[in-house]
Amino acid sequence: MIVKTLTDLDNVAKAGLGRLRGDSPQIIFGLATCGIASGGKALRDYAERYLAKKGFKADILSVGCIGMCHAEPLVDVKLPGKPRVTYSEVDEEKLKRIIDGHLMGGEPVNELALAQLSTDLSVSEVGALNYSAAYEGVPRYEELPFFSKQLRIVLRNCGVVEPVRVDEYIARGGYRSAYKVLHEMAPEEVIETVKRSGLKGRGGAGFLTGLKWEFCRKAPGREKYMICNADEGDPGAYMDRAVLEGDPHSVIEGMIISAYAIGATQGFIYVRTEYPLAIEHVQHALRQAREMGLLGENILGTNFSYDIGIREGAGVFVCGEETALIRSIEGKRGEPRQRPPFPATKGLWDKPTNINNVETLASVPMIIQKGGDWYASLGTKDSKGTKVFSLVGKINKPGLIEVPMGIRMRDIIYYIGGGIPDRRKFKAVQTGGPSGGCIPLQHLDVAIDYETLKSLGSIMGSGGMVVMDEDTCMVDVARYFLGFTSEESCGQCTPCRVGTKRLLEVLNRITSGKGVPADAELLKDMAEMVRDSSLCALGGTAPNPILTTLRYFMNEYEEHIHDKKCDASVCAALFKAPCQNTCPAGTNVPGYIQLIKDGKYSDAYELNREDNPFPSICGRVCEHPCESRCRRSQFDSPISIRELKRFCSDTARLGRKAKKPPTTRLKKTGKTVAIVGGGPAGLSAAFFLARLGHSPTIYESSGKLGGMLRWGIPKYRLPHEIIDMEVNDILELGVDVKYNVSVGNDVKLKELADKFDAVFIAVGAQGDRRLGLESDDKPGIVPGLNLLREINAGKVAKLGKRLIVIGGGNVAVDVARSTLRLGCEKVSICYRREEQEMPAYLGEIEAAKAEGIEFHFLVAPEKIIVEGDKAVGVLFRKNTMGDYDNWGRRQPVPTDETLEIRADTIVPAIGQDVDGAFADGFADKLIGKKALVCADGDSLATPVERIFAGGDAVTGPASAIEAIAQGKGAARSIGIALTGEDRFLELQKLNKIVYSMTPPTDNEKVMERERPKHAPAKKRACSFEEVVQCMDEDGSRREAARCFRCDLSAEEEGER
Amino acid sequence: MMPAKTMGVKIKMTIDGKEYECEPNQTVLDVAGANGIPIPTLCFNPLFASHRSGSCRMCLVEVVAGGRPGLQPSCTLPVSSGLSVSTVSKQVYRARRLAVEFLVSEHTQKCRDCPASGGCTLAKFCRDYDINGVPVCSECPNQRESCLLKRGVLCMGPITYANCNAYCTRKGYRCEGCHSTLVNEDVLRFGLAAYRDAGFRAEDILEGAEVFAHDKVSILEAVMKREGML
Repeated sequence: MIVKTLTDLDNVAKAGLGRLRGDSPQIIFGLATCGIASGGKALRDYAERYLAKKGFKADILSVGCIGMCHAEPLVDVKLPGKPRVTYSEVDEEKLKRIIDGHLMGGEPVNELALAQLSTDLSVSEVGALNYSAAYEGVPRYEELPFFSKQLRIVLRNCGVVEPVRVDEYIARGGYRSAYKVLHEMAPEEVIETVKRSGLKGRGGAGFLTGLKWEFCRKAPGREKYMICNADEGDPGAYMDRAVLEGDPHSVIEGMIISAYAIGATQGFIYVRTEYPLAIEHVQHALRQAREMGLLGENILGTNFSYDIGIREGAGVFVCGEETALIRSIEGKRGEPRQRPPFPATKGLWDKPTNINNVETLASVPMIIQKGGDWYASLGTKDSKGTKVFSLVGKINKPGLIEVPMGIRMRDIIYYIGGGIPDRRKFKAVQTGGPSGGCIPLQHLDVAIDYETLKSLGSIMGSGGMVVMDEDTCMVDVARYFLGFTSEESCGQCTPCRVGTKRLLEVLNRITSGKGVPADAELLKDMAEMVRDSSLCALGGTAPNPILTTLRYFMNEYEEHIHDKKCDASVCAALFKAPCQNTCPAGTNVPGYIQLIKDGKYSDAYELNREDNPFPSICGRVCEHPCESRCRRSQFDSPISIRELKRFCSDTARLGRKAKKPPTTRLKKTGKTVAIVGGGPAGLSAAFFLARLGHSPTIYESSGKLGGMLRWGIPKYRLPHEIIDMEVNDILELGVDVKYNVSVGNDVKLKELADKFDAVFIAVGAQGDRRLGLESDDKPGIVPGLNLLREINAGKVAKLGKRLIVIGGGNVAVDVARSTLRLGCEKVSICYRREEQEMPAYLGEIEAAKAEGIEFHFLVAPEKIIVEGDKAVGVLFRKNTMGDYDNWGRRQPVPTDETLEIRADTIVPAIGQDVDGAFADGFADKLIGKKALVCADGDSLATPVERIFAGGDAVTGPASAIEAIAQGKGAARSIGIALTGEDRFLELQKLNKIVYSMTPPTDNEKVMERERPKHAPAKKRACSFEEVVQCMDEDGSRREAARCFRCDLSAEEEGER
Repeated sequence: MMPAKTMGVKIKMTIDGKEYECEPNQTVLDVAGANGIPIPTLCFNPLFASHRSGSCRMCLVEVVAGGRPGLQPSCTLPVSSGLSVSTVSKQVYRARRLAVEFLVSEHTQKCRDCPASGGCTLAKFCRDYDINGVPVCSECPNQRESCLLKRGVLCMGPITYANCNAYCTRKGYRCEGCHSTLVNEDVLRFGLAAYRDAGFRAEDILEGAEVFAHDKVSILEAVMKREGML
């Protein structure tokens, strides 16, 4: 039927509203491209068959994309008069339950339901779907964090209406704006309204839409064109596709309004041919609109005529540029041309032409409906309204979102997107696709709009947002995008054609380890000139990824160029295997895993010991960062590297065939080094110094070596015999030890500096941090590390029955578990944040829980309760979770509530500081920020000549493997300082252990990792026997066989 | 294209600080050309003056006032009242230089076979923008068979900096290399290939270079080693 009047529109709307309100039971499938790709169509077919079999009559609907890409495939069920309930990640099994339980049974399947649409998400009042009766036990859409901060204008109908039904669009207020414009407004009024709204072009450049329309309106000429740019080309961006697939009429209505405003008679939708479903839906919508008199001659009964055709682009990136798009429509090669003249005066076939992006046009009907001022009230000072983003990359909930301008990046990433998966650290977010830039951590709080993004060196672009975590190499990111733009450059102008190629060459050089020191400067220079002198926006923005990464991640470029290192383990030519690259000590993980697989356990232990003097110790207590980067984790689960290390150590050193490991060493140099502190860093330095041929002497303040390994780790995790064994192996290399000598008290640092050729300070961080509350030193309060030390020394203190530990780190958990073993009846850990934010190792937390430790989260100590002269309890302030910090942890915010816990002993374990007594005479030069010892990050040299420092004393409390790595690094740079040459390479050459270099062929099937056995919780909770058992031989070799040996493929790639 | 009433009305614009009168439908390049202000061009062809692609980026000027600030190709930039541009700013120089550098980086350097036969625009730009990218061959009119190398004469042209307009070869002598040896490795490689094809001995080439390029001979030697000539 032909629609001419408002009554006609109302009549159509009635039918649509009936369908939307659902007078019969409905089952609704999200069948945009994303839904189809995740199997939505097969589910729909299944539902059809299943309902036919059951003989149940229900409408089966297909809608567009609601934006929750992370939850596909989505199925909704709607019963008459009831809200629509969404089920996520549906498979056939679930679908059956949903149909049986909800569609036919009448009540939602709560455990499968994601949310219910009880109030409309759209801002439009017309045709809003609101239901008074909501289901119990199913969250509402607006309660989902994913939707809580969204404001849906462009996406108002996406995923709600059926895109093939114009009556539903009209029921939602559609074509009323077109009616209002054609019947009641002069073109100038329309332009005025859009100008007042402050709407900017959403295609990327952000030019004021109203102004653009005005230019075109004022351009002389009777024939004008209104074109919709749907040539969405950014990798990872799919905003336009979602709108065209899910709500094509909103774009058509926007085009009619725009055409009327500028006086156009013909229009085109230029859409890339890779969007078949979008093209299908648009064609269908155009046909419907023509049939109803919404397009063609005399639209809506007025004398305004306008029609739209579709032009399919071949998927050329540069055709998104308006002048290239025009040439493409003209049938010429899609190349941009120099502006001016602008298309507004000389566009398609040299006639005045207006081009707007899909999103811009979809916003227009709402601006007409609710007024320019309403739109201008949303957003920031210079950027109004909302913006659709496709949130992808390393994020928990990727999807399509629409948010008001001015929202913080932090809100998008942590609230809407649910943060970074796998407890990884956020690194950067890339906006604007290949033309955009990377925004780093320190700018997470900026309000997102056109201006701020530009000032940060990026652009809004069409709205792609790629989140990157610490596993992303920023140099590689720049390289990737330049690869894209250099491919897509049309080749017309010199800077873009040749410049992008040259830039890419330099980046390739850097990522393959052949970078030269001048490269960073060369890149910057060249990139700036390409940006400033290119013909169109492609060349003008192509250098942005380079410029922003240079600006914010210069350290990564320097690392690649100078150190030939890629910390993120991405640039294949710069490392062998990610595990080895991630290990601070650089242990040859693939090598010893191969040796274990081949049954050569002593060789495996020895290979380990090449880089780390403590394989047995690390096999027990290492935090194993290597496992988090294991390539196998992308396939099933990471290799149990630590347990394998322990297995080969235990077999080679403790088993029946145990023998002392041979150690390679260089000829004596006669140089002497004093090492202050016999902890992991000092011992590791002694080990490597001795092997390099120097003569180290350790000054240890206690009677035994091992430092934090001995005093800070309970015996049930690390038996002292193991420490003794590996420490003795080091001492046998010719290391002298002065026990019970405290540097600073018994002997002065100055004396050591005079007597020895070099001094290495590795005193650790062993001073317990105090709570900082009144009477925090009363009897009854025992600092955590202090307590652990006494327990480890066998001096059991009187603790009483009830004990609380304050803190959430490893020391806190160690104290809790140890005191439980000493007979405390009830032990509680009180931590100021939530459980997932505890810095303690996950396995330790789980073990503590199994042993019966009580946990209080979100409590911060406020006051110590004192009775007599003894602390008898702590008053805690309860916290609630506040904003996310830069590590993605939510900040605790105090509430009004308090919690009082009484205890016999209170143990604060909230961190450690460095005891600076050793530095007597040098304190002003050696002790720096946060009371840590100052040392250069690479060479570990302190400001005092011939004095080096490392370990916890420099880094603050860190893991054992980091301290070991620091000792190793110190040995190397002390060696260079003493002999003038790097003898480490010579040492490495002495290593004669060989292992197979044939890649495995038969382990590419899913096989879960082997796990070691734990002593039963009940039994172990009252003894200091070791909890974690060594894996058996069969299990270990099975586990070793899982290794992909990616070090081999990386070598091949590097050569390529 | 312009409304009829503005036709014939002169407007004023500024180039490098000096005001010029011009027609409203002219571009900055037209105005500069009419007033003898040099602006280099490559893709602009006066015979097809209506087609201006603005793609070589040699004619870039910097808009200082009266328009969107930044670099714009003068061939397509229409004049407007109050427009002020610079043809000599640092930005302009850098952009033009980079454009030439980019072009040279893609160039095959087969100067001895080039139909330009000594009248090479690229070589001129290399001189103008101080780019050590082309040898004397680019300025030498002796092409192909008349090339001195073909006649068995050890001409230093292929490895010597251009900028003398090939004075010696035009007079019938061999190039002595008095402009010194090139340091651009890519260009050197092409020159050395020419020697190799013509069958010259490496020692003789080095000896010839020694005369004027004593301090750069080590570079030449290194490239020769890499090319397997030494």
